Amino acid sequence: MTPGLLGGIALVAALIFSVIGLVVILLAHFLKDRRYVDSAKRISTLALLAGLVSYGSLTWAILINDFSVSYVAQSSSIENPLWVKLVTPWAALEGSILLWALIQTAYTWLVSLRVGKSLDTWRAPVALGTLFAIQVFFFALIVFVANPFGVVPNPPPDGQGTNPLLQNHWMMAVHPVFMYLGFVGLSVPFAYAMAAMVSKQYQGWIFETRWWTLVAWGFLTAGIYTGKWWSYEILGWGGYWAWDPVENASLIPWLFATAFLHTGQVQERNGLFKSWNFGFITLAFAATVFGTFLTRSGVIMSVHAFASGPVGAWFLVFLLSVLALGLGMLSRVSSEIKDAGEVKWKSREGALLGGALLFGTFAFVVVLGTIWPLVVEAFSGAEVSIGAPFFNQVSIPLGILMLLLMGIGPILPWRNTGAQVKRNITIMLVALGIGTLFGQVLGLTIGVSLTMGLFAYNLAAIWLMVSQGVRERSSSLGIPAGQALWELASSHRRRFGSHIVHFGIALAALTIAFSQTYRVTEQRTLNIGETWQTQGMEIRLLSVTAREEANRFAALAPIEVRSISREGWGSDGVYQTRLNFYPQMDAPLATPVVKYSLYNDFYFVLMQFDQERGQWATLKIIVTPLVLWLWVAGFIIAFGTIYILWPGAARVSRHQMTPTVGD
Amino acid sequence: MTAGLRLLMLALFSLLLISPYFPNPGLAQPRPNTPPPDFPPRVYEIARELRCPACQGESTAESNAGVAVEMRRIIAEQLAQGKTEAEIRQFFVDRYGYWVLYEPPFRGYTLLVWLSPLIGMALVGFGLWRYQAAARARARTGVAGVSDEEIARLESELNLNPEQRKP
Repeated sequence: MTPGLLGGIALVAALIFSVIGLVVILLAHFLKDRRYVDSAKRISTLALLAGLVSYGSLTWAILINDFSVSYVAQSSSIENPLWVKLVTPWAALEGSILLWALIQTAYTWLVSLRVGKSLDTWRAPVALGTLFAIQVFFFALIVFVANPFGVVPNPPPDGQGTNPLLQNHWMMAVHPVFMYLGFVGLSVPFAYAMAAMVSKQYQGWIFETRWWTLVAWGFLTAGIYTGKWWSYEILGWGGYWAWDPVENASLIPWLFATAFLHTGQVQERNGLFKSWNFGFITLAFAATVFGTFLTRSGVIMSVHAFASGPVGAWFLVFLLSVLALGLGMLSRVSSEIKDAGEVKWKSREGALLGGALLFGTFAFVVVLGTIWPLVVEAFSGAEVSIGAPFFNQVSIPLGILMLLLMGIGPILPWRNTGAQVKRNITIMLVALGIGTLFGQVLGLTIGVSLTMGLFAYNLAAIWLMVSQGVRERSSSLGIPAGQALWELASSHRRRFGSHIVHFGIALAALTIAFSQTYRVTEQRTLNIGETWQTQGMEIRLLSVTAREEANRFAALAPIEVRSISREGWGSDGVYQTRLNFYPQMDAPLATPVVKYSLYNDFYFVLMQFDQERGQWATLKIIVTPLVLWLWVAGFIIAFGTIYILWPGAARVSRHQMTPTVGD
Repeated sequence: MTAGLRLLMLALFSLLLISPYFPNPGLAQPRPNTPPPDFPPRVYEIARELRCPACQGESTAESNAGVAVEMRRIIAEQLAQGKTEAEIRQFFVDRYGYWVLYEPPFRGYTLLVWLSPLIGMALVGFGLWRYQAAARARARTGVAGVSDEEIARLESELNLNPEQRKP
């Protein structure tokens, strides 16, 4: 059997299993018969297996260069190295939707394992039904609209090759996978929310999906981060975030999910904000579909448009159904959700709500800014652009408010404030003042100085919380401080993990302020042997050569760099700048050479070269401070998330948060 | 293949590839083998705010398309002539329309986008305020402390609700 045939059969099987699963689980719901739930569980396993076989066949076809399979003929090549072949399944539209569907079957299967445990048999049919319905959509889309296993009657000797942008960096191998794990992961809390609304049990789902939401959030964060990293190291413009519509589309679900992670805690604690949580999770999941719609439909021009195709309209339909279903259910049950209670603004709940306000506003701004050019064009015919300068400016006040709230929120106790809190806040404000002043003394801009202040302020908040908890515990139990810290950190993972994540966010904000403010770009043409002194460096062009490589041509211009002043520290070395020419690409691709140092990053790009005699080369240099620390911050955020999720921690108290010392 | 021949092939190859990137006949195509002018940092600061007319969502500072390269050259030229940033921007607006500015104008249709943080905050804030007011009113009068779900569970345990009996 050929891989194309096997993959196609498995694909149809996965669709059929998903449809059967949906039907069976609906029977379970309407007939209230538990046996149907058990069969649906088994069917979800079969769907996962069929998905795996289908995905495996695609990989197999790519590995053996079977160009009778349409996807392989269009998106692969004999010349590709092994690792590129292994990631080719998600390098183009059809394969990436197959990966998406496969991940969905895996999540459905994982949720089915929870039936009878955290997911009781009354709610399981709706939760699993929602997930099966999503799965049906994706498999139907692959089978009928974007089938990777189309038959090529006369197989070409070689495929058309993989998008070079994706071949240039290993980061591309993980970025889409993280993204999909995050996007698809949000379907699980959404499914639980639907189940909660149908079964009219509005409280329990918030505990049960805590873990799921954080997993999805963690993957989404990792996906956004790897995307930034790839953009920085590959696209060659010296930035990591361009406010491209598709980048925005990944940020929107992240913002809603973050809002939900925070307001969910208010519901956990005192049962408030039930309807808001339903709303946030619906919007978060809908935003993942919205993002896919933007990427795949080609309605908005973007660097990501490579994956566009005929599926856009279907995603729009899917998006509207998700919104109609989620918000429709919410409006149906909202009259029944009667939260009673009061939230004081000067309490943890109040700060969490403030967070919801800011995240909600930010999401609104990003959504509006992303779709507004389309709206303006539709109504007036005028073409406008809304890009990085706009988003950067509106993010500044929102970012400052978020950083202020991020420090204060965790330090406020639940329900009310106390005397110690006032002292703590005074200390934090002093840190804010000192940090800002320090920045001013260093001669930094006011915005960057303020971010330094806010970083110090958040650091002070975390220090105060940890040190006071440790002091109380060590004095009340008579144990050394180190032991008290260890015990607190291992018994209150959620709280300590959130400190770690918040620290990572504060550090990221600091690096973003520095790198966005002090990035310098310059371009100059050098003759061989000529030197160029700029930005604290002395750059010498050594030679200009061309080389033929397996799947591309390359022009190479090695340079030697010496640092001559403080600005250029860490730039020393010999670097191989290059331009790659791919046969399937319209324009040459400049892969920058990036030299990280503790302060400045040095970025060397070959722009043009003497094609006749190899006498000169045009170099672009970009110097950006602190980008290394942006990646460090990403690892800290990931570490904090894993710290919270690490098994053993989540299980300690599933239904009740143990009161923390100093909580 | 000798190095020279390879370079020649590359040259032909890149010429072939770059050519579709000159859709605007108003911009003269530079000879492929002349070095481009040097650009000081200011050029990129201005170029970053301008959209590349021939690319998919890239700024003039980032793109390597011919038009973007030419636009950077024009910026450098006009800076050297002592023109201000606003004048240079206006030059490109006259040529390509407001579409070329990544920062939308603070009026007309795009004024709303600039006000979106305020609008968003007002909308979400209003929702939160209304919710708070309702929840507070209910807390003063209603059955605070017992959630609907707890009541439902109690009812099903007391077997008052036959619908929810274990299937």
